[in-house]
Order: sequence, then structure tokens, then C-alpha cells
Amino acid sequence: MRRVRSFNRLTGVVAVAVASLALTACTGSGSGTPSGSTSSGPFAIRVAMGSTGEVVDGVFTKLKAAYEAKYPGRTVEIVIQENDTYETIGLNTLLTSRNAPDVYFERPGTRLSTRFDDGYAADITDAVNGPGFAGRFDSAAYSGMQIGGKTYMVPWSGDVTNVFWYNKAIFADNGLTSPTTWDEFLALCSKLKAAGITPLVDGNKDKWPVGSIASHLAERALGNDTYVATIKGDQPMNSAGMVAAFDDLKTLADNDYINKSVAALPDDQATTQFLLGKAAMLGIGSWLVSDQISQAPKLQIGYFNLPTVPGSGDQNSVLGVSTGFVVNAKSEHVSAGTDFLALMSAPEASKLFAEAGLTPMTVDPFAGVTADPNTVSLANLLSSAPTKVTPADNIDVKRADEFYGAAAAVIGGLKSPQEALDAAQKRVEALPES
Amino acid sequence: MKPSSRWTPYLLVGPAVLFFAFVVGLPLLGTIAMSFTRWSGTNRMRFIGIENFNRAIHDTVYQRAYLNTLVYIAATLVLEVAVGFALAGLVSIQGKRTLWYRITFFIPVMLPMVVIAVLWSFIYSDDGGLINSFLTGIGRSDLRRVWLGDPGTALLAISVVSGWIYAGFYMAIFYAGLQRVPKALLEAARLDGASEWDLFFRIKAPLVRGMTEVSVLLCITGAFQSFDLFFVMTKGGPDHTTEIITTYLVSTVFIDHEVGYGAALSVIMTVVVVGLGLIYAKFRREGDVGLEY
Repeated sequence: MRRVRSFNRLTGVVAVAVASLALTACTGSGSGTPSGSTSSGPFAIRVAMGSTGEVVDGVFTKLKAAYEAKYPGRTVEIVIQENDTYETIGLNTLLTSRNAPDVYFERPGTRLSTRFDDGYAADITDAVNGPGFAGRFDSAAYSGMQIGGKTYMVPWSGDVTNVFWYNKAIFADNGLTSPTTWDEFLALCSKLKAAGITPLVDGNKDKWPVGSIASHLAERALGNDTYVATIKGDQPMNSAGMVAAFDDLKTLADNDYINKSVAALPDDQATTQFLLGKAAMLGIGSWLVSDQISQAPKLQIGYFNLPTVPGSGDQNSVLGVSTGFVVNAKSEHVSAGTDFLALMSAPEASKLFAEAGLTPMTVDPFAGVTADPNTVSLANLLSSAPTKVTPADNIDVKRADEFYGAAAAVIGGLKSPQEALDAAQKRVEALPES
Repeated sequence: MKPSSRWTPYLLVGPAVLFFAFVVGLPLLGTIAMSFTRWSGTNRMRFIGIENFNRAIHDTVYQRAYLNTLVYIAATLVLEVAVGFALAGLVSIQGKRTLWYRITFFIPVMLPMVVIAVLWSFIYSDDGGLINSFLTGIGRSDLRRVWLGDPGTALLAISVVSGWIYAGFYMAIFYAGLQRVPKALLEAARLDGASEWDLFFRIKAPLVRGMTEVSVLLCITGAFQSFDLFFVMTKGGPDHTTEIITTYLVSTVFIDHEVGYGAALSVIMTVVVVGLGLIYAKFRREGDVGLEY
């Protein structure tokens, strides 16, 4: 009897362990296979993306209708997933499924290169040089979307990833103006703190918000080439220049210029605190505008770019990302896919996306649109930036994770810059070669 | 009764064996196979021998995840099992008149874990959270903390939530056991002058030892399975102080897209959990009298 009971318990232990294994095993295996339909008769193309809000999702519904009207016999299936799901497991699962998308949302740079290496990015050079896309994008818009001189992505929207937003009323009440240097920024924070106001709020639970600021500080201190080389693993992460850049973060933490809850707060709650007037400034990207319009339409907000810091980087640089759509190289409908992207890039579609709060990367993103002044201003800031800095997680996900972790440890007051970056470097050295 | 054909037993267990092989056996073998590869989930798998295991042994965050899991187990053994046992002892004294108490204690077990995690995140919130507001209200602002952002309190804070949820679950288990203690035995002890305290610790507790063992095992294996609370409340932060094996696994596989390495981490975890189970089974006290179920 006792042996039976022991066996049952052991079986339970094994079952629990095996179930945990199954979690990983069920992530799927096998290579992607082309869609089953052929181009000769009626067929459907699948377009996959992460959700960027109901309004934008609605634009795709309109585009689907327009495409199906323009190309009888073709139908479009829009696959929209929750954004985090899409970017982590969703797209991978879709691409390796039997019914893989023909067109999918992706980011340029490393992520696109990975898709290219894995055989999921079609060469659409001829199409984007053809009449469907004629005059719709500047050549600069294709930055990071070309590999070996060929184009593998169609630009969609751009975002400034980090600026410091401020509450105009709080600034006016305290006689403050936008700082241009880091010292002025610290003096401004000091004045706000003395007035009993939390100078800066951020929610760094997911590590990228402060990681973005750290990316920008690193570029300003080291220069873009060195910064990118560092994130790619070609330079040590714990160099003196990087430590100096992280010292700026430490100053914010040491002087309580940033909310104490920064390490535990999600970014959306930090946004809410800022919009409720509980802090004077918020460090986040251009997408704040849509949150402000929907949550606090009467709140007057402005922004300033990262103030200048001592260093060899471009002190007028802008931290930003662009996004785009890729045609799946394993699709049987590559041409139909590029047709859809041409429709997405047309002036009518660009207008719809701009009205939905996006900054399209077309040559005329706000033509005929009454867009929010901050959105237009940020779009100009990004397009005229002498140096566009890419956030670390768009360069190398694994090394960026360590970099962002180091920034989180410093801003959370848990480690000194040297300790945090030494630990990150040690972890980076243990990573396998890509 | 003797089966009519010697194949009958095999036919009867066949479907279950096939089902088990499909949902457990194949994924298990697949995971073991993947653990020897480098694979992102979309690229071509590459056999790399034991490189993933070698890397895991030297992975400081993975080591930290085990340490955190052990601390979490220690905390939940007290906050879940011991508290559940104490609650069962209290409600068993009054028997049926404690129905609503038992329901109340059990309700958290039935709530969705993610909902609980979000609710407690607000309770622990630095800004307007229930705990910090209470501390301010009683004039002890000096005790205010960023409970989920402070390395000294984050893991304990999650353990408390875990205790809040599962103490009721273990209470139900222990209560069922305590109800089976023979009344005559308790009456005889009372006639001999035993107090309620004596009845609980000298009679009831020894008789439900088997349930205690099961509860401890469930608590330990459950800790290795934990994920939701940690992922929603802290995502392993700050600075990996609440990183547990499952959160690190998910991060490795789904964010870093290192499926092969993640498979190796899960294989190691499986070996550890099975090893702990075997050790637990070996060191169980044997020969004591317990209730028959």
C-alpha cells in the first residue's frame, strides 16, 4: 500500500515536470510552408500585424475592402494580434504555421535581417521601384529595410521613441522653460522637487522605457558607431564612456528626480500619472499624443528632445524607430502582397493612417489632415534628425536585454553604473555567437 | 474476474497510453532533442551537443532563479501550508458553523490568477496603494515602500499574495482530513482532560500527517510551476530579484527566441523537480500511524 502511494506521488511529480516541458515543446517545430492556394483562380492573401489600436485596426478593414474592390477574385484576411503577443510568439508561430501570412508587420534592422536569413523576406526591389510606389517614399525611408542593395520591406510608420514630455501648466506655474543641456535639465528637476512636484515619472517594469533613454544617452556620449558596436557586442559594455552615460541616470535616481516606483511601475501607469498631473515630465515616445487625446484632451503638453550631454556623439540626434511590412518569400502570392502594400502606401491610405494618429513614412504624411501639432512636430523632428538613433532592442535583442537591465538597476538605485555594466558585460560575454 | 482475451487489458489501457504518449511523451522527447540544438523557432535547427547545458550551468540569472524559487518555497510552506493548517484547525473546532468562513477562505482559489495579480499590484502600489495609504493613515509613513520595486520586499510581497490565494486551498485539504478524525478518540481525550490545544497538536495533527506530506509536496512542485503572479506583478524584476525558473524560461524562449536554450533549461528543471520528488519520497517518515483514506 505504501509503495503504491509513493509511486502515485512520484508520478505526480513527474507529471508536473513533464507538463512544464510540454510548454516549451509545444512552441512548434518545422519549417514554414507556402500557402496552399494558387494565383490562377480566386485566392486570399493573409496580412498579419500586432494591434496598434482600434482606430488603426479599422483602417485595415477599409483597405481590405478597397483592395478586394480593386482586384476582383482576391480576398484579404487581416490577422491582428495583441501587440506583445505578436512581437514575442505570435509572428513566429504564424510564419511556421501551414497557413502563414503573405504579408506581415516587422521592424527594420536586425529583426528584418533575421527574417531574411530564415527565408521569410521576399525581394521586392522591382515592385517598390515600379509605378505602384512611385514617389511615395524618400530613399531615406528605406533605411534598414535593404539588404545587399535589395529592398525587403515597405515603410509604414515612424515613431520618436523617446523625448521628455512636460506639463505646460506646471512649467508655467514654476517659471520653467525647456532645457537644452543636461545641467539645465538637472537644475529644472531640482526646482520642481523643491516645489514639491515629482519632476519626472517613468514606468520601467518592462525595462525598455529607461532603456530607451539609456540608448540615447549612450549615443550622445559615445557616438552612434560606438554605441551600435557596443550593443552588437563589438565593444565592451562597461567602457568608461558608457559608465559616464549611465552616471546621468544615476543622478536622476540619487536626487529623487524620478519617481521611486520607477522599477515596479508599468509604462501605461506612468503615462496615467503624468496625464493626471502627478509629475511634471514623462520620458516616452511620440505615441503619448494618442493617449493624451483620449485620456486628457484638455491637458496642454509639450516636449523637448534629450538635452545635450558632454560627449562625442551627435547632440542633435533623435531616438526613433520605423516600421514596415514584409512580403513572405514563401508566399505563393508575392505580387498580390506587394499590390496590397502599394495600396497601403497610396495618398488615401496615408491620410487614413495619419487621421488615426500614426505618422506615416510617406512623403506627405499629413497632407489634407488636421493632425495634432505635437505629432506633426515630432514627425519633422525625426525626418530632419542629423542622426537617427536606433533603440538597443532594435539592434540586438539579447544584448539589449542586458543593457536595459543595467539601466534598470541604475535608475532603480540598485547598482552603481560600474557594477551594473560590469554585470551586463559578463552576461553578454557568456552569450553564444549569433 | 479473468479477461476473456489476453489482449483485453492492453485494449483497455491502449487509448490512455496513446493519449499520454501524444500529449506528454512526444513533447518530452521533442524538448530533450531540442535542448541539444540552437534554434530560434523559425531558423534551421543546428545540433550543438551539450553547449546549452554548459551555458546553463554558468548562467547567473538561471542560478538566481533557483535561489529565488527556494526562497519562495520556504515562504509559501509557511504562508500556504502552515497557515492553511492553522485555519483548518480553527474552523474544525466549530465544525458546521464555520461554513461561511470556509467559503470565504476558499474564494481566492477560484479567482483568475491574473486578476488577483493585477489587484494586488494596485494594493502594493507606491502611489495610492492600500498598504502605503494605510501606513500613512496610521502615521507610519517611514514604513512606506515600493513593495514590488524594492529588492528586499518584492519576493516576499509576491509570496504573501500566493499565501492569500492558496492558504484556503490547503485549509480545505486539512479540514477534510480533520473531519475524519474519529470522534470517539477526541471524546476520550476530552474525558481525560485534554484541552483543544492538546487535541489539535497531539491527536489531530499526527493523524493527518499523510495530508501534510501531500500538501508539502504540492506546495514544492507548485512553486516550480508558478508563473502568473511573478510575470504580471514584477516580470522577474527588479534586477532579477523575483526571477524564477518559469519567468526566465518564458523570457528565453519567447522574447530572446532561444528555443534550444530554453529547452535545455526546462530539461534541467525537470531533472531537478524529479530529483527533489525522489529525495522527498526517500526521506518521508515511515511506519507512523495515519488515517486510512
